[in-house]
Amino acid sequence: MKTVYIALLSGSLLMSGCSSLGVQPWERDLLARDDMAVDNAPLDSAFDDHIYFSKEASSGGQGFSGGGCGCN
Amino acid sequence: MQKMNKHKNIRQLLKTATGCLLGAAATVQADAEEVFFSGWETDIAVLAYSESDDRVSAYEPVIKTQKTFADDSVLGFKLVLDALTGASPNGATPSDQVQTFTRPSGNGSYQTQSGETPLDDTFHDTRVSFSANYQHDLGRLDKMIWGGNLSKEFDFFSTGLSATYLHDFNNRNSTFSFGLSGEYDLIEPVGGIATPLAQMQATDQLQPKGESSDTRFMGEVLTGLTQVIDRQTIMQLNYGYAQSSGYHNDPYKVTSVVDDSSGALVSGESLPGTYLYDSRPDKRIKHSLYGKVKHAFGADSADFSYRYMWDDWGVNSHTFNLAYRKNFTNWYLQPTIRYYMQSEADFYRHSIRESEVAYIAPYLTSDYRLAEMWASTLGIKIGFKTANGNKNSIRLQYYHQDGDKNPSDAIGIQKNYDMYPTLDAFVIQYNYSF
Repeated sequence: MKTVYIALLSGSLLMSGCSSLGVQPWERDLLARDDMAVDNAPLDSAFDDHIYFSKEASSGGQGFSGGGCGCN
Repeated sequence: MQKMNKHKNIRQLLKTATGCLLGAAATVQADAEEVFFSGWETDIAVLAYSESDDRVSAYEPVIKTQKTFADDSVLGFKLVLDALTGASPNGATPSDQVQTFTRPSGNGSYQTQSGETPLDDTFHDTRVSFSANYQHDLGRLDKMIWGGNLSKEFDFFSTGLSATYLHDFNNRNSTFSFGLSGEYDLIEPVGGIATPLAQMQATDQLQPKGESSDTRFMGEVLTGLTQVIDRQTIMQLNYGYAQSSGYHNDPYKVTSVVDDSSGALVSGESLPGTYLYDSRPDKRIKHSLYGKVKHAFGADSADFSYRYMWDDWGVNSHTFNLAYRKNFTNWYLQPTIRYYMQSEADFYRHSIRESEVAYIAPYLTSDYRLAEMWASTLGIKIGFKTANGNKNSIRLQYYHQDGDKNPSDAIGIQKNYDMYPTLDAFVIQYNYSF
């Protein structure tokens, strides 16, 4: 439970620190590139998640952890 | 121009398809259909997965399509097929004798030669999964994503719903997300639900199996922040909490009971060896912390992610992933590397001694996926565009998983054998977007 509190506290500190970060709308040229999307290959990610879900004890993180699969 | 051609092609294809389905009368409605059917972006992918030593092979075709409407809402559908065959470790340890196991159905048996890792070769399944999602704005800076999925395989049915709220702030440099999901699973093992810790019996005996099915429910929260750092860098931080309750056993896994000093098989009630069915808690709480950084290096880009996961079964894991994409004029090359390591669950044992049987705490598993282990993946992806602008990519991956092959608590003859079923898998995937 302690870890959850630490995680939440770090989260809120990060949120408040965000306001000093970022770019102006006209500086988004590189970020607008296909390969700069946070998850630019969702099909690949889904395949990988499915494989690792069936072979390891961990899942999720970037997305929900449920697999909808009887493989584990 | 390319985009216009693309749309024209899709329109032609869809018109033909619709015509075939609805017959000549469809032409009357062609205009209305054109409006609805135009603008869909579709991805088709096929994945082939193959493990060494005749273990699992899988073929997985996927089709995914989505459309962005005039009001910026997005509707998407995805259909996945998954055909699996091959053999999978059943949890028992290698021995100096031939081992005999009863197939999950109770009809027939299979044998494992001395020194070999016992593999259940009856493993085969076909899975069909369908999911849909709908994304829409809530005012200027907020949006919702709704998702639903259905998945069916021979011995398993799953359905889930999710809702995610996204809020942009700080000049859209920051996005806060908060999502909830629920999943309901129905597990219908071949041969029925094995009684936890009961002994596997010979084929001509009554198997210790009760109900034909059981259920599991999982509720999940996923919250995060995506932040633009500077012109070249974006990062994401997520925290996930998942709680599941219900049936968590692997109905096809067993644990070997071995002699206290020699490590040899102990005669069972009706088989030459003693094997106890999997027994896990009926609840699991998992947490994950996930961070990702993406940075543009000139025309190229790299991303690095790390996940720390821990649960109340005693498992914690670290996952590192690094990808670098080298962009050329009409194609790209992307090598990736992933490293994963996990600790074992509190109730994981590669085998148990005969003298311990009477004192087993209620939980016991020998599923290698809950053992201490580590894995690495090496991958390469090549992407290119066709003359009309459609995207293609081919991805190759090699996955190697290893654990403690010579654990310090191996007994007698076990010291002569590999006590962890090392895994090597190859993956090839082809994607086409139009």
